[in-house]
Amino acid sequence: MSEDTQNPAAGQADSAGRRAAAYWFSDGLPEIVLGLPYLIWGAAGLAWSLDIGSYRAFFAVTMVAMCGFFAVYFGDRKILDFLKARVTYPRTGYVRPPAIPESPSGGATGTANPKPRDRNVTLFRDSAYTFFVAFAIVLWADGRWGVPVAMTIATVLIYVLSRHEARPYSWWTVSPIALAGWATACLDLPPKSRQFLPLLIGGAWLLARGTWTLIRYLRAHPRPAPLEPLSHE
Amino acid sequence: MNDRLQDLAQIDRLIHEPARLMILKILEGVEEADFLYLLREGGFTQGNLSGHLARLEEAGYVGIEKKFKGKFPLTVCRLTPKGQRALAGYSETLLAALRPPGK
Repeated sequence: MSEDTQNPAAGQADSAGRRAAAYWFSDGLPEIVLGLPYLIWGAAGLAWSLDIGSYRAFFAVTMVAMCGFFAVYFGDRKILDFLKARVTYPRTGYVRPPAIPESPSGGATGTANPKPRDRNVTLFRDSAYTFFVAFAIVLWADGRWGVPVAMTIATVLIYVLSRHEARPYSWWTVSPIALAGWATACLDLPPKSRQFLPLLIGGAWLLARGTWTLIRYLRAHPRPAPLEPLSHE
Repeated sequence: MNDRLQDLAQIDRLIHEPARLMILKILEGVEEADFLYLLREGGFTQGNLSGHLARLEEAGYVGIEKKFKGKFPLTVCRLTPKGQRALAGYSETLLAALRPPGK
């Protein structure tokens, strides 16, 4: 994705609806909100598997992280609206992309060129599910090379499935997931600890991506003075 | 000669103005957008956008509503069904008139 922080809606600029959907991801908040539960979950699991914490502590943190994941999964719009009302809307404005993917038979104007099928921010749920499936693959992977192989598959999945989404990822953006997976092969960890690495790596990657995007966004868009009321004269 | 060419005389002049057409096209692609988003997307000045929105609202093409997201006040604009019909009619007339003869 072209990360033009001067114009947050830039990139994928083939229609107003698609630009609006891309704008939803321009501040990095969706990635931060999605990445946090994964990171907490993975870190809690790893700590438990290394006997750093008790099973009860792991269970409690896992429950909190799972609740966080489901809150993000089902209440993404409300959680993100709450955050964006404090960060994004005062800086670069508010837009609500189309509620449903637009019909390929044509838009409201009925022009000769039908509007492209716009992606909608509610498909954020699909993205969340994709990440979850991708990072959970390793539960079936085994041994030292299970995590690197599974993380490589996850990287390819995320790259391919995000191609036509409002927030596409480039190869170099997703490659740290696979590289981190291969790096874990050098670690001397018990098998049950390895199972939590994908959630940890995935969560850290999402959080890092989101934080980097947010910092760039905030630097490009200092909070402006309030707008004058709309004149009707 | 394109027999639809004379239809251009009946074209909706309220929409024919570039800034207003831009506003309607942006709003057509989204459910709703606030004043600041339109300002940035269209590259308008505040006064300019305010004036055009007021005219579009007066014609019933755009609905304007004051909302709050958290404690942040928003001036939210959306294309009305009347505005959608007007934009569709405008596009049809313009495209028909500009179509090469015989097509």
